[in-house]
Amino acid sequence: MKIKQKIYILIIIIFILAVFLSPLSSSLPDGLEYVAEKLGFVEKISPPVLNSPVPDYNFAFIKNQYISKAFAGAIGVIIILLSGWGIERLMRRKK
Amino acid sequence: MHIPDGFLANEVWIPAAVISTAALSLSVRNSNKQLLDKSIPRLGIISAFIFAAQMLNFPVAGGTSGHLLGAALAVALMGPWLASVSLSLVLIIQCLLFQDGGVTALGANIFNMAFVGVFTAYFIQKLFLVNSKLFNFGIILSAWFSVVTASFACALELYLSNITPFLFVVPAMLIIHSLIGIGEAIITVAVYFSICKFIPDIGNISLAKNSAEK
Repeated sequence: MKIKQKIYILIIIIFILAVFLSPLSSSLPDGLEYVAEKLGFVEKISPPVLNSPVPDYNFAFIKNQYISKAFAGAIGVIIILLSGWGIERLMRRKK
Repeated sequence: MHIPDGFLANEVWIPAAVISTAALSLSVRNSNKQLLDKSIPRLGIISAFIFAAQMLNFPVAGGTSGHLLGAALAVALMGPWLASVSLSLVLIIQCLLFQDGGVTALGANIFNMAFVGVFTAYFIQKLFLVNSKLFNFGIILSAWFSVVTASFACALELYLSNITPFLFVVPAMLIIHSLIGIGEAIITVAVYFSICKFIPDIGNISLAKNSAEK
């Protein structure tokens, strides 16, 4: 298999993880949230200083939370792929 | 362990932001030397994989969940400088786009995960660069320690922000993240070997190969 084909397969796998698997992942609190709840400082969380367009991986206009998270996963992967690619190109040019 | 807005005092998040900015610019500068192969958009692919993997929370004993941090994986595949750029990119997008981690805490989150986590993994992997068998063991160990040291840094920042006593928050964070670290170790070693088998070229600036060349 050529390297290009392998790269496409890798990208497909990444999309499968972010789009199809992420909506099924555990929604239990993460380690820090859990500790904050147990030690009673969770109420110190303030409203976000900057409003994100997609808070908590949920699009307000998509009713179904699974579809919403899948969509967020896809958008995130695309943005990171492109920006990572761009940063790498910029760093090469500087060299 | 993405810290939200409100937890950190100004005396903590402002210095953390300054330190992370300086560290990140150092990383970008040093990364230049590691960008050898033009045929693979390494930074984008590995960062996107880490982002996707961080969305996959697995349940951990006692009503909590964890997900891959990816620091040890990134270090094994592209060395510490590019790894910290990669983790920072993921954290910045998570924060700005998805409100995962507060904007004021972004510097601290980058410091904990993209620097403390990444360089812990790097030094441990370097220690085990004796032969390939030992290196495999080093990857497992580095994955576990990267999560635990990052959580320790996070706990320290919470304590320094005066919202919780040292003797409560440090043990609590370390215990939970030593459990999450087991998941990190299993996923890291499984993904690392799959990638090395399937597309070895992507890791061709890995620690292992770098040292083999020397």
